[in-house]
Amino acid sequence: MNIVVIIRQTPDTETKIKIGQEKNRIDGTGITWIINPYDEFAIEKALKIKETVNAGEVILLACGPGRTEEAIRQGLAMGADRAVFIKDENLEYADSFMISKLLVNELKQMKFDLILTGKKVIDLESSQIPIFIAEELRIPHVSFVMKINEVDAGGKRVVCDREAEGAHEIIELQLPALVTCDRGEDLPRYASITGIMKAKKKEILIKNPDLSQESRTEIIEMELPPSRKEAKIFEGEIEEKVNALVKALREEAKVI
Amino acid sequence: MAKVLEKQIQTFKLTEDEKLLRKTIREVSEENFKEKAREIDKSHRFPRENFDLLASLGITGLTLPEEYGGGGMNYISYAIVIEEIARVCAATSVMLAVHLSLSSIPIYKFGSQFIRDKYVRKLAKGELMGAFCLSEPGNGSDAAAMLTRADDKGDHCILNGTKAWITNGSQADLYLVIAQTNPELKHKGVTAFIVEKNMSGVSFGKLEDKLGIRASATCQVILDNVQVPKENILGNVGDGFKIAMMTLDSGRIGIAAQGLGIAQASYDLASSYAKTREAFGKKIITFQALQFMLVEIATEIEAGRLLTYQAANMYDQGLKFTRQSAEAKLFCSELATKASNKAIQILGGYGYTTEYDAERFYRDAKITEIYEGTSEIHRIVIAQNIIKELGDRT
Ligand SMILES: Cc1cc2nc3c(=O)[nH]c(=O)nc-3n(C[C@H](O)[C@H](O)[C@H](O)COP(=O)(O)OP(=O)(O)OC[C@H]3O[C@@H](n4cnc5c(N)ncnc54)[C@H](O)[C@@H]3O)c2cc1C
Repeated sequence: MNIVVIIRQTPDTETKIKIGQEKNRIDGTGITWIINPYDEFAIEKALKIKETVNAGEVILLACGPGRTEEAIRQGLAMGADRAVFIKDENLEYADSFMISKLLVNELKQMKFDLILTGKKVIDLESSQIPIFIAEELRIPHVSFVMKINEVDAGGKRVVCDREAEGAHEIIELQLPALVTCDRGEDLPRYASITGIMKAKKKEILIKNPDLSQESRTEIIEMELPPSRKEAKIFEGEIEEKVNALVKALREEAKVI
Repeated sequence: MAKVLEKQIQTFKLTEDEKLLRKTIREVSEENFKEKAREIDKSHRFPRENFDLLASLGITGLTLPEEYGGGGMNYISYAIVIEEIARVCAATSVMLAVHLSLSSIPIYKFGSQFIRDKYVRKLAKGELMGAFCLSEPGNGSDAAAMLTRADDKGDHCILNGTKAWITNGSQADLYLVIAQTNPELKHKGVTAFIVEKNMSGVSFGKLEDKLGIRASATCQVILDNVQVPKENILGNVGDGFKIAMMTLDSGRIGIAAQGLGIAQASYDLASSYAKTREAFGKKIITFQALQFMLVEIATEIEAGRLLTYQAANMYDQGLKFTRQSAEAKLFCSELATKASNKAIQILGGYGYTTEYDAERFYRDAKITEIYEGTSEIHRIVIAQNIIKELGDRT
């Protein structure tokens, strides 16, 4: 069973984003980059499947500027077997259409049974790429999966658990298929020391993208949301509420 | 935070795996050790579970060779790991530092094949925890004046004496004990032994009630007619003092890194506080008096980190590094005390209370100026090296 996990590198959730000199770019200085958290859940799910069926490979596939390599290395250190990296500095602001096309071109040359990726990317808050890819490859897909309940490598099918509006949908898919991942119960593992050491020897196959394939949308301007002080509501019995309020005034607002 | 670090070490370019290691260990520390650090400090509780987590990630064997189940990483990696753990919990960092650099590494480095096969894999996997026993109630800096005796009884030795201030004491499974086998030869009559916790005659004193690193276990190790087989001698009879000194030479890099972690934590806390706190209608960070404090700490952290990496790098390359490791330890430990002291000052009244971590950093910092050689002893070591270097040149 070969699983391709599509990953993207995004700014850390705690990074303070600043708009750059050009209004349609963010200021790249001082940003800490991480694996898109939902893609990290996808890596974890892929590794779990591999451990269960005990066969096949987990292959990372990424498309982006050079810095992305750090995210790839982390995925390899977590336990993925190898990686394919479509690398070009011009991909920094490529849109979903362009990235999807490039990924599809690559996937058409790869052998896989299952494609996993995050349910969305946290930088552009977009979820389009996976669906686009599934369509282009003419394979079934299911999104927002919490858990992969069953993997039948021989029969080439998987059963997924998807949370939808307070209910669970259990969906069976014929492979090859694409699944986008939500958090679920499996927290991503840390890279172990052996993992980090082994990752050094794992292959990252670098591919140059066909840049004639252009973006169809363009970011014209970005703006930070206006800052807004959130109201704080204290819960509980009146005594608890008062205590919590006084504590907050003292420790957080520091006014008493 | 990570961005500040990357900037600070530009001249010392970390490899990809060292960067990944820093990122991982920072995440592990923040997610698992940070929140409870204050509680275990207060309750004096030894966080064995922290050691077990580090073991599950292979960090208890970080620098041991892969053939013995270790990670095969270099000493810069070791400094990175200790710094990052110390940044959230100094007590956890010293637990690992003693296990790895004062116990597991010398047991591997100086151990016979028998010793390596018997102990090293288990130490690397964290199935065994190590401790290092040199100091005694009556002598610390003057280690050669030790009173603990080992008497030769043919196929074994009988150990008698009391070792003091032992980190991981009563918690560790293996104790690297330095004892006198031939008092007439003074430090040339000293031998290193591996003593197992469950050997008959080994007992422990009460837990010391300390100013800082309160979650680290410190106690006396009492040896009362302990029969230790000769296979458990590390190196040769008479090598003990040399083994102890070489072990401390490299161990000091860990304490430098620990000081660095505490200093970085103090700086992080103080600078973010100064950005939000207001006085006289302004953010306090706009006051030049506070800016100067932060500037001084930030500059010295950069200097300290470079000193520490330099010493680690020299160790990795097999160069002589006694002077550099002493310099790094001296500088970073005094920096830790200074930075945490300033952090309290910048936080004002809040810094003096246990609501914030500044006071814990201050209490934790002080020990780095004392153990593995006091600041005074480090100045002596550096001076001796300087004099030797001057001599070489004439
Ligand atoms: C929390 C903690 C954990 C420890 N963990 C361990 C451990 O795991 N294993 C271990 O073996 N030891 C350990 N130690 C012991 C530590 O290494 C010693 O305390 C240290 O070496 C100092 O020795 P001492 O306490 O006997 O002080 P002393 O040697 O009595 O020194 C007292 C003072 O005199 C100064 N002084 C001594 N000689 C000179 C000199 N020649 N010139 C100038 N000044 C001098 C010292 O700098 C110091 O200021 C630990 C200690 C503590 C507090």
